[in-house]
Amino acid sequence: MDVILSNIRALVPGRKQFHLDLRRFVAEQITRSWILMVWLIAFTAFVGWYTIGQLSAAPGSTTTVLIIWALTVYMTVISELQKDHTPLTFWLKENMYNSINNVLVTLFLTLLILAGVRAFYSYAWVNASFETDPITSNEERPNEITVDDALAAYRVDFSNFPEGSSLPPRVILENAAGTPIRQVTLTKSADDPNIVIEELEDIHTGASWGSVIENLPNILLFRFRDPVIQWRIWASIGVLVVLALPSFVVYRGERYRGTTTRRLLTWAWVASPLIIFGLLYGLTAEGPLQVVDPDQIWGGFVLTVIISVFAIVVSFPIGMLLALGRRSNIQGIPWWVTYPVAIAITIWGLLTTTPANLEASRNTAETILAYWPLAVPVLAFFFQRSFKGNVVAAFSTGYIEVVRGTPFIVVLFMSIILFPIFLPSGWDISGVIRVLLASALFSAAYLAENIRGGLQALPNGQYEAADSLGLSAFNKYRLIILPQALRAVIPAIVGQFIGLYKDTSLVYLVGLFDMLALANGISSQNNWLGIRTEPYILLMVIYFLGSSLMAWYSRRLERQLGVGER
Amino acid sequence: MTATNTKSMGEDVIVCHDVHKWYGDFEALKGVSMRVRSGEVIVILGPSGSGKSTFIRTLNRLEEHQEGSISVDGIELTHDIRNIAEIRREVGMVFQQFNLFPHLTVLENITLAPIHVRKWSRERAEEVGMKWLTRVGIPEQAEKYPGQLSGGQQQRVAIARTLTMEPKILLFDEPTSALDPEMIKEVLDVMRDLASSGYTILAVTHEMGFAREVADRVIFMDAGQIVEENVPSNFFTNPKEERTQRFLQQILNH
Repeated sequence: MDVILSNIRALVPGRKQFHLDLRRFVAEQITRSWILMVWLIAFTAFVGWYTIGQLSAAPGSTTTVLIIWALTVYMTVISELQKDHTPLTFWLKENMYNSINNVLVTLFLTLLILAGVRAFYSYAWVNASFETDPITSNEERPNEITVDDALAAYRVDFSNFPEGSSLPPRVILENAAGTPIRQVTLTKSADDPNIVIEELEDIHTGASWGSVIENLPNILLFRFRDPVIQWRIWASIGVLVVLALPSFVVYRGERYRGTTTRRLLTWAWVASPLIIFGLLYGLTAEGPLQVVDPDQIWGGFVLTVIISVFAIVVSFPIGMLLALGRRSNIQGIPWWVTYPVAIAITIWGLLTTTPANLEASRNTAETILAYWPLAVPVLAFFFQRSFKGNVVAAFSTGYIEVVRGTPFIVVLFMSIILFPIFLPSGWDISGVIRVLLASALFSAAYLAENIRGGLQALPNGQYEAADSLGLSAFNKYRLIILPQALRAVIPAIVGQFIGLYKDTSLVYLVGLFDMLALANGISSQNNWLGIRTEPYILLMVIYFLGSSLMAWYSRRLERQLGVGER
Repeated sequence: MTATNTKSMGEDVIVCHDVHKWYGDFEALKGVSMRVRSGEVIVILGPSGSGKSTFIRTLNRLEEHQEGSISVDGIELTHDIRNIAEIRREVGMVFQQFNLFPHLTVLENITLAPIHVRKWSRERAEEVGMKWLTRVGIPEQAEKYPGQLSGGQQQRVAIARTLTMEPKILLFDEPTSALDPEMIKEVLDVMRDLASSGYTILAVTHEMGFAREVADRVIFMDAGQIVEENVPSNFFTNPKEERTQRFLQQILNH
């Protein structure tokens, strides 16, 4: 109450003296430079023009905004002149009205946001249809228009339906102004060769949420909608819930530290991906846990989650090893071993494979490739020069740099198209599984670099202290180095995982039925021809929710672990 | 009466012979030889860059020496990782920058190595750890994190962490150099206490008072070599070498 009163009081000029240096005000705000003056005139004209436009488009809301704007500007100016701010006017002065320009910007942006909200509101709610079956829903409506009437009264556009289309032709009826108002579905009846009207329906100008509602189970579960296997999804979620609930108690505070309960729960968490994989993939040839073909059954949001979780869980240990490997300083192979071996390989290659390959060569590229043994000493030289013979560091660095230099989509195509060529005949790994492995291996390289950043940020003293206490290398990394290094790079790692989650939509391009593929499919369904916006909005919401959840959890984790504190 | 007479000195616990160490082309140690007997307190002095820190860091293999031999507690320091692990169990080190583990509480810092290296039970480690924390005067800080302590307190925790491992030999690498003047005393008091309780101590420090008071022997190093070895009374009042005299003049007259 006091807050409101004090703000109302700010509306009335009090007996306090005004502090106004008009000349200084004009000099600072207007005549400082001619560019500012020109800008202010142009911007004022523009905002005025825009406001008038909005006033005629939406008089009510625009007038309200104008009144609130004028009142708060007035309040702020009076308070500023009296040098006596209420918290509200002080905030307004600091953030909204701190110059003439910003007073105008505030008005303009408010109206712009309002226009956007209004447009979306009318699209998504006022003019929207929530009907999941648009054709039957119009049955009760009398269809008084015949085709002849329609053709006579409306401009008919057949262009959407090329010949040979298996879809029933639809006629969009437009009124004189060119706005589509009705759509007619036409079919040939058996006894009458002429086209007859099957259905007539109103066209609404807003969103057809029915498309999304009808397809939601498909987009989320894909073939797991099938009641025979649907329970496996619920069982998987059940496993997670059953593990998550006690975790809130067991992992909080000191009470369960070092107890068997906590150890068991941790092992259950470690085993849970395997259990869930068993549920979703299947274990036996027959029975309730029958093995499914993931290429056919996994899809939609379920597939997105499977790919993201698999890639995250599997890439983590690999990335950690790569990061440690790249920094390893183990004793390398001495040059007097590397160089003779390299030269021996070169000579052996030049003597045995090169002549045969040259013989078989069909073009310049193959001729050059036939001399591959000559590359061996060069590689050996760089191996010694850059890595001092350290195989682990050389492999890790090479792997990371090669993967980082390759686009994810290329890796996906390689996993689908190239990878089977290298498999022994008779082996066949399903496309989804190949994509899973590709995502994990791809993600590992980026993760390795993030973790390496954390390792490098640790002062050398931490390593020395651990060493001087006699900790083994394993314990040193497990207890001292990695907890600190990983903690420092949680934001980067979570950022990468969010990227990975969203990048799963790329698997659409290699033919998996992920959410994007299913959403695109809606536009060719009978009832929802050409509808794309609504499914995309659904995807946006799903991706946004998932990403925000990860970001929120990351912030919570950072707070709990005290990232940024030393 | 010097400290040497009041204490009983035992066997040689550290024997270095002609130790050389290079960083690339730079020779940091140019043939250092010395013996340390059990229970001896040795202070190593020298200008910065003289190799004194490098030298004591070779004793627990934080730095690798390339020539010569070092044997600690009868074990020869070689590439053999078992020897290194064994020596590190018996040799404790206190660093200039404390190097406490910031993600663990004080007590966790202290009990970590006994539990994982000595394989003690948590109860035993915590009991011994608290004993040492009490000895260095800050048992009430056990549950805090290092970041919540002052520099002097952190260094005392670091000393307690080292001592809980029950090492035979203590290495101090400039333990007071990173401390504010008013905190130096609290750390030196702890070191004095340890020196009088029979530990073998090698300390690199600039605290002349500490050297004069508790050292059995002072070693002066310059340019990677031992220039002079002496009992503190002679070292400070009557140095043999000209280089030592110059160093002492600079230190004492500044």
